[in-house]
Amino acid sequence: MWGFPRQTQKIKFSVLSKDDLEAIHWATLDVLETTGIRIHSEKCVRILDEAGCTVDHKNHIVLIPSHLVEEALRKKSRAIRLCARNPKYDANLDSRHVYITTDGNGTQTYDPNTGQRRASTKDDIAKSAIISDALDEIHIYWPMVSARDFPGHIRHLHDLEACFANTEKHVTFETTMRPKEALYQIEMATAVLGSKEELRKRPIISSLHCTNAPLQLHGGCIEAALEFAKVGVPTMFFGMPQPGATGPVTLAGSIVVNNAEVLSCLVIAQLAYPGAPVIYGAGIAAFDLKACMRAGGGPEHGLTGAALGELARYYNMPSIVGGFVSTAKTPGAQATYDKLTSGFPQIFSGCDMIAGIGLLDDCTTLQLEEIVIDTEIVKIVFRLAKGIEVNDETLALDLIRKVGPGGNFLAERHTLDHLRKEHFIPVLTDRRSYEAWLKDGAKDLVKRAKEKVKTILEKHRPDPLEKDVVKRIGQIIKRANKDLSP
Amino acid sequence: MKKEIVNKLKDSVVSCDVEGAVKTAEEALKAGVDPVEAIEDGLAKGIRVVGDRFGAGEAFLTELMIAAQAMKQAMTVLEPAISKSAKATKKAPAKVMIGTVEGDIHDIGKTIVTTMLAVEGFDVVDLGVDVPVETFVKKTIEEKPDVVGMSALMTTTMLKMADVIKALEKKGSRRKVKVVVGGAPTSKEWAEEIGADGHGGDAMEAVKLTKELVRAS
Repeated sequence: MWGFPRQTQKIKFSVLSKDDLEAIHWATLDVLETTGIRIHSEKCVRILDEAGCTVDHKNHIVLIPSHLVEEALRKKSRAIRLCARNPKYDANLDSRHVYITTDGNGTQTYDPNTGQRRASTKDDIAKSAIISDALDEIHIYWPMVSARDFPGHIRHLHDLEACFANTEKHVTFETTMRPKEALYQIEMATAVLGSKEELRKRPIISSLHCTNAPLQLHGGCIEAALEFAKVGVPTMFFGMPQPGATGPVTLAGSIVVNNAEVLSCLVIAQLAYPGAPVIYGAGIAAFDLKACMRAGGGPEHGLTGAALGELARYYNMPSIVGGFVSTAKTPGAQATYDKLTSGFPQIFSGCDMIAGIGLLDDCTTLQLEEIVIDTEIVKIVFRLAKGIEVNDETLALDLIRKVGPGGNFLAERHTLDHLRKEHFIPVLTDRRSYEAWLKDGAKDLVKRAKEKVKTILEKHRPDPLEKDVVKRIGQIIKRANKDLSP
Repeated sequence: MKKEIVNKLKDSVVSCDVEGAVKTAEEALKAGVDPVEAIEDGLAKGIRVVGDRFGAGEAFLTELMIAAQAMKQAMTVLEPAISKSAKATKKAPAKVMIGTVEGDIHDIGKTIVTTMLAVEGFDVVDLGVDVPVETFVKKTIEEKPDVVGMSALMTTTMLKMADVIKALEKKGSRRKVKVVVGGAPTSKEWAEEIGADGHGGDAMEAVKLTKELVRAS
């Protein structure tokens, strides 16, 4: 499955100039060489120490010389294919397509029956996975919430089980804080595919690892990433400095902080496993200095996302950026404008993956309806980005001559042939007459989305896992339950 | 074999294949298919499928209109072959006369309603746009439609709808027909105010309303 085509020709859009990109790169090298990164992992520090970095062991600070960064940028593999349980959903990160990824790691859900906000469950993952599986505009599924009805030490294995069981699409996750847990996740993916060799060839999972702004790496998190890198599972390193709090208030400064964190992870991964597939990640949203909360739906998030996508392309790396995020607590006006403004620049810039659709309250709360609403927004933005195609066929001179003054184009073959390409075809957007809308119950957007969700959940059945795979996964989780128990 | 051809007629309408529909209609006559059966079980069923899909929001108006073209052109092949006795027993469809009122040249809404009425099997007389009050009255007397539909897109021209109704009353023709109105500035309230029999908020509703009025009369 191809994502939405990246628009490279028609509408010129970029957030950073080539000079800007170079300035950011040089500034980042300076930070890595002179300020350094704090790394809470003996293993990672040793890798860097042996490669020639300057290490302050007492404070866990490593200074990374620029030649190691340049070397890592040369070593990494560019071609990354995020494979899927069903190969028709393989997502090829070829810098020519944009893939829409669900938002992930929420902790709360508006209960589909009661409407009340409550702790998220495994069933919420199942339902949101089915909806994402059904919608063509969603390419990659990230467990949208955590299975909080299971104990912490095996919670994320249950997350993964619910993903495999309810979507045939690629699964990415961002929850692994221990290398040992990574091994179980790898084992589960192996159970689905049959062998480790097959997993290396067809990685049906990828793992996202957040850095810890400013300029710190969590030991368990990065060591877990290395376990994935070891078996060829793509890893994403995702910076989240918040301008004003954990990064400079200036967006450029926070971009440098993000870049230093991500590039240091890249260096570690390429030193440990040369050629490891690494995806560049960023979700830089301002820190609201009045509300004292992250402003995920702010325009800054859109700008920095586009900028980081451009920076990743400058490094010849695929990117995953946050976007289509909102701090609104319920679907509606704010959610819609937040998501639109925090998401459209990334599409215009052509970031490889954009994650954020479906959650509210700054990536924390699942409302199933929001998944279909955001899908509609995404489709609208892609139509905008596609621009206007001008050629003989679209100029339609023969047709204009044929129809002539006073005629109409309603029943022309040309209309039918080009309609789907030329027009955004709404699913939820109301364009009916007032009377038709009234007669249909005067439903607002959320009510219409609710009906769509209901239809999908009633009708859509992703291909189930084979029985022995289900059994093997069950056994793996059982083993992990004992092994990972605190 | 005959059944296959009838099904093929239906499919060519469903797939908006105008040429295919005409060719299959010719094929049907050669194979000795009853033209009434070819129309009713083939073409009409096909257009019903597309109409239903359109009503459910699945098909585009363009598909419905091209499918209607396919039906219409295949009909011109089949109709001359219908025997006189079959023609005599066939109930004439209800007639709708429609036009955009004087001073208003907006065409598209009326054209859509016209097509959809034809799809539903109505005999539609389209008076065109910028139709003077007198023409509405004269044509009503001549054509004897069951329903007269008026369209307007502007608040200034919609006033002509009231004039047409008044003129029909003057000529004693108002009671013989149902009058319906539509177009962006019109509303249910407006229809009541000028003494029309109904208002269609969009093409779908206009067709539904027309069907109801014909059934009731």
